[in-house]
Amino acid sequence: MILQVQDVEKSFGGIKALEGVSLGVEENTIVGLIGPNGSGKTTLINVISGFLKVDTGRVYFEGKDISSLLPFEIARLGICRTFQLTRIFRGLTVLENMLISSNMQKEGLWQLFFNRKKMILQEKVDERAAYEILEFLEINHLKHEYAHSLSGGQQKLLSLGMALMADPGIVLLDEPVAGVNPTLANKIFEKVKLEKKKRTFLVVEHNIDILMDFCDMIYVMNKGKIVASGKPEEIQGNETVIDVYLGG
Amino acid sequence: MPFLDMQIIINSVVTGSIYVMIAVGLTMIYRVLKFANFSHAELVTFGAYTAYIINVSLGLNLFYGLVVAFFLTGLLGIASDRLVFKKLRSKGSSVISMMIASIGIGLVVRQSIQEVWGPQIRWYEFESKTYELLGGSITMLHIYIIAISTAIIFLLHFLFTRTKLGKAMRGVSDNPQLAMASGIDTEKILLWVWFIGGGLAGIGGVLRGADTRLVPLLGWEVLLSAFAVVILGGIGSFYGAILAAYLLGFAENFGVVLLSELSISTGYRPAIAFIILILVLLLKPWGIMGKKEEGS
Amino acid sequence: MIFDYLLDTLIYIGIYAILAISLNLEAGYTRLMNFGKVAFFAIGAYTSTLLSIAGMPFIVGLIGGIILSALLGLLIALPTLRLRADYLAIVTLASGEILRLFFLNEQWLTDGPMGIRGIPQPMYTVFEDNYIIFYALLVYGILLICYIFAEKLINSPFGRTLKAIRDDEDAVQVFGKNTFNLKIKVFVISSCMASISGTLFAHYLAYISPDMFFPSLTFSVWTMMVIGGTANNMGVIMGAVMIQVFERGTRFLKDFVSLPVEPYNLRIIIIGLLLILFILYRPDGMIKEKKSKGRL
Ligand SMILES: Nc1ncnc2c1ncn2[C@@H]1O[C@H](COP(=O)(O)OP(=O)(O)OP(=O)(O)O)[C@@H](O)[C@H]1O
Ligand SMILES: [Mg+2]
Repeated sequence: MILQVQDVEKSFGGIKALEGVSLGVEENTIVGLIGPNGSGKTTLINVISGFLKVDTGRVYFEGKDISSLLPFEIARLGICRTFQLTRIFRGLTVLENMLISSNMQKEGLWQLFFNRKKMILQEKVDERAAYEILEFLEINHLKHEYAHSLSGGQQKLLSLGMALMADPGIVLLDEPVAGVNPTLANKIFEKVKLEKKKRTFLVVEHNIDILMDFCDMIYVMNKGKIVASGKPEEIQGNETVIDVYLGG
Repeated sequence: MPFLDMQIIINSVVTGSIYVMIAVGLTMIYRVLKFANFSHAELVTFGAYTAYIINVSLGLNLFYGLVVAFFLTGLLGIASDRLVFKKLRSKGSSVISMMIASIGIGLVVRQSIQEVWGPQIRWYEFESKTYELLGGSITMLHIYIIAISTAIIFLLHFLFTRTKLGKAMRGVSDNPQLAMASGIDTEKILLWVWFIGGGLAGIGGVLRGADTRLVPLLGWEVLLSAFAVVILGGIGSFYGAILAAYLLGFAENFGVVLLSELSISTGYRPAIAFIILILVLLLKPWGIMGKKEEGS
Repeated sequence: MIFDYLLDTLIYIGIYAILAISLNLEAGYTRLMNFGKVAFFAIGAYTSTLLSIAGMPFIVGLIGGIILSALLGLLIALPTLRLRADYLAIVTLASGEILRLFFLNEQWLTDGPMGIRGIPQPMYTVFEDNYIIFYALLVYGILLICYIFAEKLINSPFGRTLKAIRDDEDAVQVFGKNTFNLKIKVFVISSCMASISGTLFAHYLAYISPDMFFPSLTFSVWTMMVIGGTANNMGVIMGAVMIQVFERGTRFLKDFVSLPVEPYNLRIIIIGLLLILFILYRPDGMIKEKKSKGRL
């Protein structure tokens, strides 16, 4: 298990957004997380990535308790996430957005003035890596455009690209293909599947069909609880799941 | 304790009463529009000088000045919103732009006041007897300040709990998105927030001017204290602001005595609010009665 | 005579340009709302003044100011930079005022309101007659260094991450960046640069007093940045030129024509109006931020 969530509770005022949530993610798999609106999927991602602190319970990454770490500390361990409402750096170009997400380039002031060679070398390496990812996502021609001038779908692609650029051990994707056309959505999941060799994915997605095709494991949430889990084919016929989706 | 005498308590209540008036509008605007309105200081000054026209230039009772100051300062609040902040909102400008613009408004209003009345010190014209109270002395002015402020606090409490307008105002300030979704005309409510908040700042200015003196920097001098009250009380919290205003009033009056006991210049009085502000930010940044905001 | 006046204006422009560049680093590129810029300027002025009066060479005073500014910057940044962006604005504004109170009240150190006269000027005996020319060269030499430094800083991974923090700080953390740390760094660097500007100011005038360090100085620098072009170092230098020419122009004009309004008031009112109008209608200023082509 690369990621383990144990009995996590999280409430906002009176609302229990997460109630005794436990789940595990195996290394080099794609794990889907589904559930109706407001069931707590985004909250779970926020808790894992440190954007929200758990009320009780623990989150372990590679065996290490990360529940009290800050978001950037968690990121440094190798957890990268995207946001449901895409968040990119609007005032930077597409390429700059990609370079920001590289973990290799450091912001150190020393090297800036006294070791420029190393900095520029790293920059070149990063740029090549960025072009490769942008090429694949078919937005390389936009590399010098401001990120805010991209369409919604392109921004989603960019944020996915940034997550890959960070080269993390696990990527948490919150609805990566919402609003993206089906052909491209499929393509994105193909890419995710290719990347599976290198890392693990936890994907929140409303489109069940696509998850069925690509996931190794699926968790179903409802009202802050995990109500079912299993391989796609097990989930498909599961009564609780049908209830959750049809019964509301 | 040697310096915890009746006089300090009386002075603290007076200071607190003035701070409440100034802080209510500041905290509401801060909550609803999410920016620190630095021009609030000049609403306070504007109110003070409006009453000066009525009281000294026209020779009428200061009470009339108080009422006129409320209305005109409320209108100035609305004007600043219509002319500047509303435009920025509709352009989707950041909170930061609003703060910079509020600085600009403050500069324009303050320096215009200085242009008209000059930098010299002025006083209202009224008489105020002094009475003995439990070993301290209290002036008629102080009694009026406390009474007016208390009456307004009760009126506001009534407004916020019993009237449709007041409930809508609290709704908007508690959760602007939700209020909008539930069909409240936010922009209309906002006008009332500016009017009432601005008007109360004007009243605060008159009370402060009567208690001390009038100078173009009158509002600017209390701005830091006002922000300390707002943040200590919890941004957007009306009852928090009341409590915090009296707490700060006490801290300042007690602190001044403490400063002179320690033979430190009482010129450092403004630093008391600053120290409290820093302590709040360190220990309880969401204030004593504010809501802790979390996540996105 | 007219030549000296020109040089004098040029020196002021240079000094303020340094201050504007330093504000641009923290506020323009990173959106840290420093409303207390004057504090760091004053630290530079007073520290180097006191050190050189005690017989230290100019360079020691300059460095002393830088160190103290860095410390004050840290002291302000540590409790505030973790919190909402607008708290920094309130705390820095207050810090500037408290520091001015300190210079005003600690007479043993600063001669209080009287100010300090006869501040030694570096290498005065060497240049004597042409001293103003030497000083102009000194100021512009340092301005050039600051400009190049700022450009290098901004066009680097460090600067890129600062701009990302400006857009969305939380999202930057997703990529393992310690944004708090980076914000502190840029805040401290800016504070040091402001101190250099203050040192140049004090030794040029050879006289300083607390009333040179009012908050309006901060907002004058903000206006330079906003109208010149936020997040563009060339732009803010242009802004410094315009505001200085305007400020000194009105001062100069006063001797020839009689204005119906007090020139000082008019100047501040126009600065306020410029801030509002630019924020409303030209938020990018005269020169837009440069787009990076991704090459360092
Ligand atoms: N920051 C917050 N403050 C208060 N309540 C919140 C907050 N974040 C989430 N909630 C509440 O927690 C519950 C779970 O929300 P969450 O966003 O996790 O759902 P979700 O499964 O991601 O839904 P969707 O499919 O719509 O994205 C909801 O009732 C929501 O209103
Ligand atoms: Mg969600």
